[in-house]
Amino acid sequence: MSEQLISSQVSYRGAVEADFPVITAMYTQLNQFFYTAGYRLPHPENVGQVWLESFRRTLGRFSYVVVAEMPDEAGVLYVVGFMLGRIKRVPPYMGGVLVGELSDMWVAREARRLGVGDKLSRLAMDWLRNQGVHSVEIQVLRDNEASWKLYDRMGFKLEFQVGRLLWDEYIEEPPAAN
Amino acid sequence: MDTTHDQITDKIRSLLAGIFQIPLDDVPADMTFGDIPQWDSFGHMEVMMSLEEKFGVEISTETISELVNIPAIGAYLEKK
Repeated sequence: MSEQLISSQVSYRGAVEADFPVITAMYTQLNQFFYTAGYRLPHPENVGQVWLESFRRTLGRFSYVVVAEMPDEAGVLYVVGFMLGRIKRVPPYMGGVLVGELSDMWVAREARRLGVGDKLSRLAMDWLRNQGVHSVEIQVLRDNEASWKLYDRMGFKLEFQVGRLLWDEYIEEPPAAN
Repeated sequence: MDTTHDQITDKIRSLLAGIFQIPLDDVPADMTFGDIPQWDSFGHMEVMMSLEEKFGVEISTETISELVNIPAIGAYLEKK
């Protein structure tokens, strides 16, 4: 089957409670990927469930999950990807405005290279725009070039870079001058 | 003493203690966004969501940016 035909079979909708087990399992895979792409924060147990609880209360009001589905061999739809969009309020010294964040996205292997990530991102952007946020942020891990290319194509501009120092890497004395 | 004002303040303090999972005594009547790590950019949205649920109000986008401490929240709720 051609990629174009498969792509036409992918459909999108807002997530419901019944999707949470699949979405948390996908987030767990995404979190594992983080550690291959430069992420160095600790790995909590039950990371998918902990992640879900971080926005579950605000779902539909200040956070939104869109899912992608495609039919299996029997024609039954199953979830092949998700994207989380969230709203936050930045501190007064940063303008105190509401800012959207394209927070996390995962697309199952069989649904990659079909434009699913682009569509999920744009649907989350639509929702954020309807909420009246000032702007939208995206955090991309250092080695995740494919993801940055997607957001670059959408018009995102690099604003700042985040570094992290673990204490055993701390260089307390500057190198002696020659 | 303004009883209604104090009652609303106590309700907000109790709400915040529940959201942030801290003792009520650790929530001063003038607590402000950023005073504790939990009341951060995303924590603020949980506060707004809980206020809407508990007090039956719908807080506008502009107002969400203004309700950044207990006195401001109290003044807003007293007008509702």
